[in-house]
Amino acid sequence: MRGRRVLGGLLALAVLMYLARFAWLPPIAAWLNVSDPQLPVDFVVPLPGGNDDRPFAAAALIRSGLAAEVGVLVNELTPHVADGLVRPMHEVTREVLMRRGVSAEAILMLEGTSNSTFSDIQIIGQLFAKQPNATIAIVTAPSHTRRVRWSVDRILPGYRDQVCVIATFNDSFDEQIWWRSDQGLQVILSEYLKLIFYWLAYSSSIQRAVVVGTILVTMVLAWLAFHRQSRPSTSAAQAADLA
Amino acid sequence: MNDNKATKFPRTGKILIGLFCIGFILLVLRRPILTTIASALVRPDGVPISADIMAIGGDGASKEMLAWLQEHEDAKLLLVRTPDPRVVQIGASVSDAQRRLAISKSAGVPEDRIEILIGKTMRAQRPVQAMQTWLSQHPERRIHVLCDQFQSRGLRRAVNRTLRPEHAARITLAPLIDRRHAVDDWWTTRLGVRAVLDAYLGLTRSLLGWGSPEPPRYLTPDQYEQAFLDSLGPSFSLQPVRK
Repeated sequence: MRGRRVLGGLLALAVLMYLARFAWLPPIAAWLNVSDPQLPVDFVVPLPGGNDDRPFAAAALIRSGLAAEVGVLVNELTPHVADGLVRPMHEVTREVLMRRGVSAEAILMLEGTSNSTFSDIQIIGQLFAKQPNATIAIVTAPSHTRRVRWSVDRILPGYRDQVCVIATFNDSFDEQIWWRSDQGLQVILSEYLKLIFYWLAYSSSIQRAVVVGTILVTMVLAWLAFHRQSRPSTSAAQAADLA
Repeated sequence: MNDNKATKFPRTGKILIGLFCIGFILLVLRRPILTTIASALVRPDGVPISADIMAIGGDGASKEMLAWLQEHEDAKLLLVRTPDPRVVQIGASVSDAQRRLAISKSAGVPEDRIEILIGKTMRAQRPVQAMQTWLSQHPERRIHVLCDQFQSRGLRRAVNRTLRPEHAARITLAPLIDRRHAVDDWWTTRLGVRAVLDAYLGLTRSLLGWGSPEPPRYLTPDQYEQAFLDSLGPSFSLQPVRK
């Protein structure tokens, strides 16, 4: 009987969630976007991975006088690059910037090999070694901004006010119906998985302990509440004993 | 009351022991389990005696494509030309079709053995739509498709769903193994995990039968840069690109 009730409840919840999908699915994508433009800046850095939008956005900032220089991250060698089939991504980025009106002198190739968001932020930190008062705008995809901000806060805590994260304009899928597009589904869901991975891999032990502790306490409380509800009440049990 | 407690506790204990056993089994058998998870994504077909060749993706696809053309003198190379992304529009990079065309020509493949098929959309189904056109126009021919191994099951599903059965039967898939990760070690690298997750996300979407809408509007480089600046909030002026 209880099993049936639980199943019925879950089914009703599923139907309700489906009917209300336009209310709760768009905020899931919107939560990832923490774009916070603080312009003008000394440097703009388009993160690798989106040569069809990030370098264009960086070039627009330079041409409109909102950034003075562009930092370009150097990517890890891929098999296709090693085979000579494609050009390295950072070379294409540089080429886009130049073709979009950024002068060669304004482009700074940053030393170090970029292979993850975390390594990207570590490399960007080099700019502060040379110019401690520099201001930097990191340009990336809207869904990526939260993970970038999170990484900046951990890797460059002393410079967090000097770094802003700016989302590119997304014309590859409609964020209001992201779950209906191949790209939207892949981008949003994989970003949540990456956020979990980053939290597990790069959080401090205290932060992890607090979250794990909270989850465990919640589970124990839920378990206790569930069992208290399923246990017969004292008066009913007494009545049963008397009978 | 006490009887109730006495019957509840052993059940909880049994559940915990059961969960522990499942965890232990998963730990011991993680290699075959993870290998099976990835193997489910790979869907190889037999190798046809004679067929035209199309490369959709996969590590070493260009090399395999040329080897096929050398081995099968009657085979044609089918390239799918899609609308150019911005990075190609400004000449900073080349499209896959352009790259494969250049590789084929430099390897000495005569022009009469190369067919350019026009893919009308930027969507993932574009190669399948192009196959449909080619097979309708050439009822006697078959297509051998080179693709990434983890995308092969999803591609076969797209082929079977999109094309008529008699056309789908004339397509064979050749999944190519990536040098960086295979079915039996994908979980050891970040790229491998991403490849398997992406493939499962795509497959799940396809199984659920959700349609993939066109991107909202694919902007030209100038339109994109202005849209990006507009998205920052107050309007910014954009200097035109000096050609």
